This record gives sequence, structure tokens and C-alpha cells, in this order.
Amino acid sequence: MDIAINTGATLFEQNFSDFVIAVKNAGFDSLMLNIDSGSGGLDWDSLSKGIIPKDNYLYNQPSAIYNKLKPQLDIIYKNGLKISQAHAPCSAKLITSDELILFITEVYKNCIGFCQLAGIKHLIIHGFCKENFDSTHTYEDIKNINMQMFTSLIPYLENTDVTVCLENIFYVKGKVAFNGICADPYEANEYIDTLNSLCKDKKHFGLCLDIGHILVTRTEINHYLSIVGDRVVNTHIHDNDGVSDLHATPFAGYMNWDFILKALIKHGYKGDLCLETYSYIEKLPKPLQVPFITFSAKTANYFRDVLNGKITLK
Amino acid sequence: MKISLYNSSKMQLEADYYVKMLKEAGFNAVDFSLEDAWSRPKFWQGIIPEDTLFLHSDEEVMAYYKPIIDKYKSYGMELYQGHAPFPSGIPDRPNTIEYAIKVIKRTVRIASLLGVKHLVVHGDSLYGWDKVNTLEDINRLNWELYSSLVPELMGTNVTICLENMFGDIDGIPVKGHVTNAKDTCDFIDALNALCMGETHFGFCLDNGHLDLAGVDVYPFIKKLGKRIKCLHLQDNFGVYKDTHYLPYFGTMDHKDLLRGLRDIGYDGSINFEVSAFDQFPKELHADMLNLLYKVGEYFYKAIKGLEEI
Repeated sequence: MDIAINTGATLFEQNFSDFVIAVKNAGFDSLMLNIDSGSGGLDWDSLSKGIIPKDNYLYNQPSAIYNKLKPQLDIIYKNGLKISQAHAPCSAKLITSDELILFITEVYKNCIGFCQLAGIKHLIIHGFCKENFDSTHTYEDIKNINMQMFTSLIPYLENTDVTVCLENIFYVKGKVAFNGICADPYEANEYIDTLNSLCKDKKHFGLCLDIGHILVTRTEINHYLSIVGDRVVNTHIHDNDGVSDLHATPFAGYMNWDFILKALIKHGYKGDLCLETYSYIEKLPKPLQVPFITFSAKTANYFRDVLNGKITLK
Repeated sequence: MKISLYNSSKMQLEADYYVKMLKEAGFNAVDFSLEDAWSRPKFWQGIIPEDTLFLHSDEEVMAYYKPIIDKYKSYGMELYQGHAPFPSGIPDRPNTIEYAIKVIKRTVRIASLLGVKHLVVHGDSLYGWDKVNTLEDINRLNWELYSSLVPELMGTNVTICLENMFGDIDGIPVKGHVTNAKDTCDFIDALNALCMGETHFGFCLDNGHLDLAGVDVYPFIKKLGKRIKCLHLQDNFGVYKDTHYLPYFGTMDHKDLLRGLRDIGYDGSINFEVSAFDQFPKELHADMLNLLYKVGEYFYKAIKGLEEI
């Protein structure tokens, strides 16, 4: 069980090496690679207006992504860190045109190829969600779009070591979060089991449990885990105020971590613990960023000790 | 540079665990609780305690506190500020007001004996459930409370610090005692005018309470200026809960706070009133204090203009 933190927007920044060294010194084993971040990534504002950048490296070839990220991968591996998971570009709301859906699906196919080249086993793909006050698409429409998109990835997954992880997602209506894709555990099972039944060589689909999203969607984690079971292969760990998806460091929110950890123990979770909190850390004053990375590693290590039985909760 | 943390009575009694850890993290001062004259849940019900140490003789009080203070001194901790018992009476229960004033007067004496320079005393606020009092009644009660402390304060080194509070109407926080900057300045100045040339009243800025009350921190600090003698620094999510989280563990913007304190030349302790030990499992206590000290160090440098805000 590795402890990890996400790279966020630091991936293409000049100080990426400093970030990696801070993460290593803090005690993390691993990173979550945010493939689409910083310069060169997708321009979501333009995409939402229907401007599709077919010259973008993410749309090109898996080798183009690999070559673009090779310097960062070298820094990560040189410093003795592993990569627990990669996160594909998030497009949860962009279902404005068929052309856009096809474009994003091509990007996902290339991300699979990149993961195989880079030796990354888990690739997180959100899938599409209902936009705020979207009256065009029904629940069934969105489910069909998602199922078609994920099914189209299967030929690119076969004969690789890559597992595509769907994630429990939300969408916001008014100020409140509602169930997006896989936030209902039975729906998560339906997606994952249907997709795996279509894979010829082995199971290529699993679930990334986002614990922050569990709180904002007001989900009872024991109920959720009792249904999705061992389909959960990785995690996103962060905290919030129960309303906004703050991606705050654990204990900077209303999450009952004892309750969460006991649920993970009860349901036998053995995968990595990935803090998805870099967007929170990068907003801190510069002199406090390394101290917060250090404390984040101590927290993740405490969680691991609890899950491994080294620390017993009351 | 003084960086301090609120110390509850429990922490005082277990100083070799808590204060030792504070010392190791770098803290050099404390906000010393003098609050436990009564059980707060019972007091809210109007139940007056049969006895309290605070009303005993100086000798008995010191017999209790001297070993604790000696321990704090051995760890090099200054008692920069303290906190008097609260609430200062329940507005619609007159017996509690009379008793609270008697105990708080004695707390001034105890603070003086212990060397606590800044003693925070809460005023009352108007609550939605109070069907008896008007805002004018509450203001009059607060004036009676603070002005009655003047004789105890004369000739001591103690400054009473009023703290900005929030009221509550149906669970929603509303602006409470001393949350209007001009009124607060006038109130403090009028109290000091009673002190015949001495200055015994100042202000404790609670940034979390200010946030809950919806008051913009920068102009508030600028108006209060040098009246601000001490701090209750914390964080929250801006609505409903007075969480007293560590700074940067909520959603408050600390930049305007730091700008304000820098611009008035604040030179008191960087004091955190946070639920530090309750918020985290004990396995993380030492690491949490190391982090909190780094935050304090950054705050100090930012206020002194040594670090960019």
C-alpha cells in the first residue's frame, strides 16, 4: 500500500523538480500524474465553445504524450518515486457535441497507450456528466454516451497492463452536489461489470473511490463499499465542507476520518492511498507549501498505519 | 517573536505532554485558560456552582496554580494572554450575571498574580431565543460588566481585551458584541477614560468570529488599530460552525488579516485559538504542532514585512 499525492498543475512548471524532491523528502512513495495540467494541456474554455484543438499532443499519438512527459517521468523515477495512477483530462461536463465527445475519446485512447509506455497501471477517467441545468440530455442519454465511450476504449486496453478506473463523480445543481456517474454503487457495478465482460484478455475496468466526493454527494461509505466491494482499486483522498469539492488536505473539513478508515478496513481495501490535494496546496503562501506537503505525508502514513493494523482506532 | 497557542485546563494539568510538545515545536508563549470557574452547559441553564476556586483566597488560588506556572516557566513559556470564564452571564437570567461579574473581578486579580498581561473577557450578545432583552439592554449589561472591573484593574499590568463575538438567530450566526468597528473603538475608549490615566482596555481580534459575522477584516483592523492587543487566530468555512480550525484548514482568506495587522504595526503574540488537539488523532499531534508553528512563523514575518503576503 503506497501513499501518494497528485502532481496537479506543477507538472509542467519550472519547479517540478523541487516539488518531487519535497514529496520524496516528506515520505510519500508515489505520485498521481495529472496528465492534463499546466501549459500544453487542453483549453477547456475553448472546448466548451466547440473549438477542437486537433493539433494538441494529447490527440496525437501515445508516443507524443510520452515524449512530452519524458523529462517529468525521469525526474520522478530518478528521485525514487513511483506513479500510483495517472489522471486523464477531466471532461465530466463536456457533452456539447458529438465531435467533442469523439475528440475526448481519442484523447483517452492515447492516454491508455501512454500509460502502457510509462508503466502506469491505473488510469482514472471520469466519463461524462450532466451539466448544470442541462435539459437536453436525459440520464439514459448520458449513460449511453459513457458506455459507448468506455466500450470504444477496450481494443486499446487489450494486451496492456492498464486498468481504466471510473470514479464516483458529482454534478452541481444550484449550490448542491448530486450523483454523477458511478456515485450510485449499483450504477458503478453495472458500468464496470458490463465493460469487463466485453474484455477478452482480462478485466480492464475498476473503480477509483473518491472519498471527498463521497462526502459532497452525502453518500454513506459503508453502504457504497458493501456494494462495489473489490472493484475499488485506487483512491482519491481529500476533505471538504460537505458542500463544495474543496480538495482540501485531510482534517481541513468535516470528514469523519475514523468512520472512513473503519469502513475501508471493514471492506478490506488494500490499494494505494492517493491524496488529491495539490490544488489546495498550490494556493497556500509559498513558504507554507513544503510544510503542508510534509504534514500531508504524515497524515497519509497515519492512514496507512491504521489500515495495516499498526494503529488501532477506538 | 512570540508564537502562542490556547492552553485549556486539561493541557495545564498535563503540561509534560502538551507544553513539552509546544516547546519542541518552537512555541514560546501561551494563551492560558482561566475559564473553568463553572460548567458552561449548566451555567447556560442558570445553574450557579456551589463553589469555585476562583472565589477562594489568593493563597488557595496560588497553591493550585503555582506548580502549573512553575512547569510552564520550566518550558520557557510566557503567559502572554489568558481567557476569563464565559459566558459573562446569561442575559435573561439575572442571577448568572451577578455571579459572573463577581467571578470575573476575581479573575482579574488571579491574572495579575499569575502574570497574565492580556485577559480576554467576552461580552454578551443578543440571541434569537432571548425574549426578554433588547439590544440596548445587552449593551447596558456589557457596560456594567466592563466598567465594574476598573477598580480591580487599577495599578495592575492587566489589560482586559474585549473580543468580537457573534450572536445566533435560529442557528444562523449574526453580528454580536463589538463587531462594529466604530462602536467598538468608542466603547474601549470610554472604558479607558474611567481608568484615570492608565490604559486597561484593549481588543482581542478573533478572525474566525469576524468571518462568521460577515465583517470585512481589513477595514475592521485598520479602524481598531493599536487597540488590538492580542489575537484569536483560527479558520472556518464562513457559515454556521465556529470550527476553530488551524489556519488554512478552512476557507478563510488570511491575506487581508495579515495586511491589516502589518499596516497597524501589530507587535503582540501570534496566538492561535484552535482545536488543535481535538481536530487530529494523537499520532499526528507533534507533526500538527510543527506545521502550526511554521504557519505562525510565516504570519509573523508577513506582519513584519519580511515575507510577501
